[in-house]
Amino acid sequence: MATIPMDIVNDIFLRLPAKTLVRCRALSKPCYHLINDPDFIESHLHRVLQTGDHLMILLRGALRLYSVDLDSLDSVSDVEHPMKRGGPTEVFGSSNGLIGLSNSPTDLAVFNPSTRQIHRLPPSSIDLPDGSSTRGYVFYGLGYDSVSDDYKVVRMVQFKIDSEDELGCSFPYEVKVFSLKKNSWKRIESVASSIQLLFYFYYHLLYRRGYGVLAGNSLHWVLPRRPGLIAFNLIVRFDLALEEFEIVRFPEAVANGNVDIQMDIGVLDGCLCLMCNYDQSYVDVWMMKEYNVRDSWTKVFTVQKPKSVKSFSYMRPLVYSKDKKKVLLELNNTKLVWFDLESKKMSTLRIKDCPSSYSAELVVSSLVLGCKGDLNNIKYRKEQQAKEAREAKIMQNTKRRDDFLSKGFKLVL
Amino acid sequence: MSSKKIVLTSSDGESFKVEEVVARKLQIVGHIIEDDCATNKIPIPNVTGEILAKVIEYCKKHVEDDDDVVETHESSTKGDKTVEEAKKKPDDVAVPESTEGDDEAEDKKEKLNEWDAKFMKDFDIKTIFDIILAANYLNVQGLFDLCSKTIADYIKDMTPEEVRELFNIENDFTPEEEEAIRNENAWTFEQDGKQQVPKP
Repeated sequence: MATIPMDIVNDIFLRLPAKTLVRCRALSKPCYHLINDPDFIESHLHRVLQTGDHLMILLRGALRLYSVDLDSLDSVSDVEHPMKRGGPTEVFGSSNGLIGLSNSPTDLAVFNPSTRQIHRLPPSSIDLPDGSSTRGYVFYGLGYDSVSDDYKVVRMVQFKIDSEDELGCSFPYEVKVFSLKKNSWKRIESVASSIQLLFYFYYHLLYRRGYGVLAGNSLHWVLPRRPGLIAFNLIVRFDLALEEFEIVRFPEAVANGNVDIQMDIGVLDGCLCLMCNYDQSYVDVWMMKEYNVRDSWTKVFTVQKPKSVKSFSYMRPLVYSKDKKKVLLELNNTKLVWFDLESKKMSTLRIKDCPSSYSAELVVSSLVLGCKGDLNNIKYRKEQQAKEAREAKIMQNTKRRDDFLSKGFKLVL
Repeated sequence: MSSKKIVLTSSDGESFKVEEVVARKLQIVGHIIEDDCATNKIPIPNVTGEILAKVIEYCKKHVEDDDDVVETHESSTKGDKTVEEAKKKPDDVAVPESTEGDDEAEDKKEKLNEWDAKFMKDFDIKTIFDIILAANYLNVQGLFDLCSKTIADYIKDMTPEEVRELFNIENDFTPEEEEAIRNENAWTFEQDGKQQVPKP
């Protein structure tokens, strides 16, 4: 048979998921260099973002990460990553096929679950301001800055007078930004006063734990109205290019709404979304169709509380189906359903052999971070595995088991 | 115009009489017609009759697609496309409002996709390779994309050995080099034991 020209091979490869491409590097030297080429990596990413092909759902159970292809729900696989330890690793956000991983505010990484490449962020200390003795809540965000062609991680640390200081609004946040290109952290000096009002209490309850929502080249956190403190519902945004905070205004109709409406934000089709939960009976979804244009907020659909769920605390849209007739919704941190926009009916997304309760993140399949491991990384991975094996043995004794169970119990809270 | 016929001749001398509008779907043919340097007979020297017949069958079915037509007035067409894209973008984001026209267009597209799937199902992989080479040479973008996607789906779960054999790719690594590459991402080769049965 005739040899297929390399430009046709290139086109075929652009349609493959990243996992397959990692394997295809072993075909030949031309294929190896093609798949490692930054132009190919960029073209592949552009295509998956445009077509919506090869979308993965990342599922976070209590202690483990799983992934499953949206088009192939029968094969759930463990997500192996070097950050794994005895306890849970947080996932804060997803951008162009990368996810943010956190074991602690000074143990962070960006990771590509398709290629299993990881970039550990150099540790960045937290500097307590004078007068504060306690570190409070920490907010994270991961985003791609298209202006600088750079991936950035934002870490915002709240401080308190002591451990009983619930509001924690006495001290300014420490905000630092990591640039993947520079591989360094930078402190943001001009922190908007409004972010001091990101309440520990409010965000502690949210299943996403205050991870920044990525849209419009910015990360976003919702700041709901609180009598006496915040007059209007607001969204705080951090511009990844300018590295500045700004306010995004709510849709006019709900900016001064009833204090009992529960607000949350998300992203759908790349647009910032606002979910207004009315006493857990229904949720209005608003979409900001033109970024940072207040008048472009549009109510796109309403979801009634389904009869099959007893509580309707949280609902988040994740993605439209390709024909735009349905939206994938995450319900209560435990369930994924397709919501038909015309009939208003829900159908549960059946994922085989997955944990019964999980939170979800959509991740595109990409080669970002490349797929070439190096000797140091391989060596590190082996050492890490040996270390984990030793820790597993230690955890078998009674004391560690009690500690482990106690930790697990805390997670449920 | 509607009665004008073009005769396409394959590399092995087989002739196909087609409507001009169908012939234009082969962009390389469209350009020849545009240049007005053709009689009604156009040779296609790189494509056999068997394969050319399939390309023409696809083009007849997709004669109303606008993506393959040679642009006669490039600048104005570009402008039109830009306007279309600008209009289309909000619609993509918004909840689709069902109208009769939209439903008809969707239904038509769905039937066309079904036809495409059935069309591709009839071929073995070697024939698909021949068709993609022809579509590439003749510049029939829709058929090229369809073949490319079919091949990608076919090889998605294959081992490197299987892909090399299928694509006739020479393995120019030394054994040491290949082992090093496999070791870099050993996890992705562990699936070999769980290999799915390739599609027929």
